[in-house]
Amino acid sequence: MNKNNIKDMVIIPALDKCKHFIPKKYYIEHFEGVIFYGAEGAILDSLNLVGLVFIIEDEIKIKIGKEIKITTEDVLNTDSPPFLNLDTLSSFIIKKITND
Amino acid sequence: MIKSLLDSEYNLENIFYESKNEKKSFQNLFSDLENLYFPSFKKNEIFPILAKNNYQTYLYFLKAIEINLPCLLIPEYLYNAEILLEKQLPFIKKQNIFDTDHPQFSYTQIEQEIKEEGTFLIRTSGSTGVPKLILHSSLNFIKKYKTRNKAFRKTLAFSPLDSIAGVETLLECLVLGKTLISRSNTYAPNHIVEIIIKNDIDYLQTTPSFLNLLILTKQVEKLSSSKLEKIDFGSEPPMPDTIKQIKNALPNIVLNHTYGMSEIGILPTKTSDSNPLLIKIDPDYSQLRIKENILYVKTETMFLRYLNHESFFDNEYFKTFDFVETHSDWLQIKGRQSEQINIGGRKFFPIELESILSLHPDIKESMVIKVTNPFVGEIVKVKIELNPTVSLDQFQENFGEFLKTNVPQFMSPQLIEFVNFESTPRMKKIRS
Repeated sequence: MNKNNIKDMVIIPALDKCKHFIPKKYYIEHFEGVIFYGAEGAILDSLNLVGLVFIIEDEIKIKIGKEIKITTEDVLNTDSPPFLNLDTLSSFIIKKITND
Repeated sequence: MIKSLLDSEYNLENIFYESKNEKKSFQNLFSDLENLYFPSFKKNEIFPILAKNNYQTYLYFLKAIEINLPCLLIPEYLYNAEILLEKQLPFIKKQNIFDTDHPQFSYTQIEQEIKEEGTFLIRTSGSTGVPKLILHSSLNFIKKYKTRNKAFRKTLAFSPLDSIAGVETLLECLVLGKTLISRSNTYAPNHIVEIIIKNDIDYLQTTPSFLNLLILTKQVEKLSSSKLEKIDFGSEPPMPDTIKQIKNALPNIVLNHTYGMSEIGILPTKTSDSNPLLIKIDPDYSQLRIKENILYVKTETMFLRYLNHESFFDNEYFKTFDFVETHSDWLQIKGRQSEQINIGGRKFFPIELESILSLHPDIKESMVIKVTNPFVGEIVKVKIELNPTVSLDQFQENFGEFLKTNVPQFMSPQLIEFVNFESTPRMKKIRS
């Protein structure tokens, strides 16, 4: 499984369920170059982020058949901010799936 | 009056308040307080004011204390969510709330006279959807700071002024002659870190959720080059790893786990070196009783009474409803036993949000529950049953706008589940 698979199978469908807090224009732009969380111009606040994380966990369970908790304490030990953008998030999820 | 109560030792030229565009010394503050005009008022009137974290609001709040006019601090989110304001504080009209950007005095009559001096009012959410109005004496807080001088120079107005933590930060700076640095209306970690570094802030009062976000975004690393010396964190139980990570990233910073509530203020505490989840509440300021693991507190900064509700006292001890465990001399706060939802320190009951959602024309019924998350404590989930004529797509298209207009940001549900309540027979809502 590569980053693109994770984007298509997990992250994009999860984002699709966040329409009540993510503006429409980002869907049209397919989230390319969009900062999710943790830097200037981020589109999510901390609560939105947690909401998205819950939905992603659900998507992983449905699509990949693994029950993974993303917001466990080890998320605090990562080398780079995992929720910065589509790219860092997919790398982080791959690592999580592989290690769990 | 306020000036006479304060320590006279500090230099009036010291900066009291600083924002991006404004700097005010204590001399400016006292001179502005002296020149500030308030129309006359009666003993059964209160002064509702929009609780902005800016100099002008602080000024009117402090002057109201000085002239013994009880000031009711209205949260900005409530002011902006008109439906919620009407439901929660029906006796306050939006146009009668004093906004320092458009100052126009208007007092609100209440059913009782408030005879005590130097009082103010804050609200806390109520399980029936009606908030409790908590009457405090500012003099009790002033007395606390005068006898317990914290060593810091500058702090950040992290908590909103409508919360007890916000009021305490303001009064503490005033009494001790320290500088209060303002922030804009965002809690984005990068923004807060920038203010801390730029303004040489050495003391921060915050929440465990915010500390988690500092770590998660790696912003905490930037703080190692800041002047920050002490962090107090409270309002929700922390994760052990959070504290470990902060200590690793910022080894020279003193971390202190505090305990407080709107009714009792923030109590002076000591945090265990070996386990930061354990605290000791300073016996010089507070006495404790524990009955069936529920904490009861008697303290100097105890509220005077609720204006609209019976108070939970047991022989002068306030029942906190917090579940605690004792470990020899130490106390571990396990959290509240109720349906109350705590979003990074902002608390509300499910019925408050359900009452707003009931106004959405497409929602037949809703049930709000909390979902626990290690980063922000709790987040909001709502189960919704739509009216049969409404399509899911159509609803999703518009629901975000409804939330934005009518629901305060922290109450806004992050998770939505569409259900059919009728398929589950129930006589009352079971929030699980």
